[in-house]
Amino acid sequence: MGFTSVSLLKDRCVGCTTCVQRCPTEAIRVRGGKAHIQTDYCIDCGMCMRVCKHGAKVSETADLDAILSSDYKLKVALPPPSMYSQFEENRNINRLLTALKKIGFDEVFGVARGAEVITRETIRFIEENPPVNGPWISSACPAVVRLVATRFPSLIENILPLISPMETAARMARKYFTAQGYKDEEIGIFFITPCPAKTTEVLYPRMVEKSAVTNTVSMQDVYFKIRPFIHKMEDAEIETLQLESVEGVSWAHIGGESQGLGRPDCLAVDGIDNVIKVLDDLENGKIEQIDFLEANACTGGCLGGPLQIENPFNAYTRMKKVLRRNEHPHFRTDVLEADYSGISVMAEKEVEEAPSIQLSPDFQEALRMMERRDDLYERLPHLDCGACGAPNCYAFAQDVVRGKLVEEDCIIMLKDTLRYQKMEAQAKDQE
Amino acid sequence: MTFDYIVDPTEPERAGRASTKFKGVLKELGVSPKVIRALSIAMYEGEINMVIHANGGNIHCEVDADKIRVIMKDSGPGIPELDKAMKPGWSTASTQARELGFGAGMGLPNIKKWSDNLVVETEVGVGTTLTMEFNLT
Repeated sequence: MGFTSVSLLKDRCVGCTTCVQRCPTEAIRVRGGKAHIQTDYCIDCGMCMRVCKHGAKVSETADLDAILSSDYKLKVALPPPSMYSQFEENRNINRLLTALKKIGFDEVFGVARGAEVITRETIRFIEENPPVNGPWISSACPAVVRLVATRFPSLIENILPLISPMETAARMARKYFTAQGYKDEEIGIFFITPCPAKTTEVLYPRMVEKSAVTNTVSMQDVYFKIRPFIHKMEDAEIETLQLESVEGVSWAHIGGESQGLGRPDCLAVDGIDNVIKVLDDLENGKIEQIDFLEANACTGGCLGGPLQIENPFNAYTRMKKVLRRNEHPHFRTDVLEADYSGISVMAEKEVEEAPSIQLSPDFQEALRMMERRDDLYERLPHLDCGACGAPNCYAFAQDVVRGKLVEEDCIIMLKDTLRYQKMEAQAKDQE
Repeated sequence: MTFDYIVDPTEPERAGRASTKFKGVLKELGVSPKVIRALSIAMYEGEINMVIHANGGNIHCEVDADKIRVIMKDSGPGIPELDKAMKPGWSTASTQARELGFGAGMGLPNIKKWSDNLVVETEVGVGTTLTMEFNLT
């Protein structure tokens, strides 16, 4: 069973095939004049949200105001480091974190601190488990993990069996605040998400049994809410809340994660099409002598998340300024130096292969379907027009043999059928 | 069921297309990830060899219930000392190919390592046919 946190605003969808044709896993079809996501194929990369001209694709996140007025005794915000690149003149992380408290969160816990823990654990893990058959693949980008499960199942064994920085930070926050006297159920932990894939990771985790994160709120919602506070806040109001150093903050952009490992043989790739290309090469044994693969579905890494405000290139320039400014940061030492022993960062379950690519679970039946598909494909117009609601003629043929469409759903095929019928009728009249 | 691919030597940048295409077929058929990985590596290696050494050729793939057979046939120069070519490090690649980073002498040994059975038929001046098999059971 698949799950996606991307949903459709039906009123806005006009049934054009822009998202259908741009989806990197061909997961979308237009049926009955509206776009439908086939969740078994969706990897939550958010491409459809980016390309929809009508704003019909949205990422489902919790309502920020509802969260802020909820009954949780302690509401903790988990900001990802990419958030620090979203605001123009500001370079002080503590100012941004204080603004989160101003809008109603009781506490903040930077995800970048969790990232630093994962960096350390990754170094240790690779030393103890040198790669045998291809590199370890970072598990930090959930869209990439899902991509491997659906399209590259032979690489599942390469996924680094460590939990994500977000999950790590959430577990640390839970441990710290329960030690302060709160009950576990009184603590609500909310990740400020730059993408739909992270929301899916929280609601439908694939590497842990249950996420320590309560829910996600959208980066866009938070941005517009904290922006006024960031601007008008007096310097004296700024609290010391920062936990993360440059190393953790660097995870926000592509290459930052591998940089922290200090190994020469890392490969970093961003942008979903590039990731697919690299995974394909990896499967072919074409990429050798690499022991770690950092792959981010979005261009620029998390800075390019579909829920970010800034474009990833401008965000990266700002990020560099943030990193420079942070050479002498003020840290919240009580939280930083607390006891986090007993927190495990190992994955709790193996990523499951999603057999969505298979034509049939029965090998012989799959062969028969493939023959029918290829035969039909040869007869199709090869225009890839998308009028049938499938992204291209090949996917159309696939849908027909899967029983989702019939041949006449292709307008070119239908035209030929009608023309033939007309000719037959004329021939009859002449008799 | 059979699948045929042409490896075009005039487009070396497209080398690997056949392997990637056939890999897609095997995923659709639900072939186990282990077999797919082994086959991809061996077939890709063979495809690259066809481009570097043999001026392209044809690939014929047969999928049966218990076995996949990949037959890669070229009309290239042939391999003069097959025993040596099966050992790691030995190569007939041209200086030009070596300058491009190919011809490390790992091709055939690598294919042998990843396939369940490999038969090499070669005749100098006539060509080479590799038949590799992968067990599905």
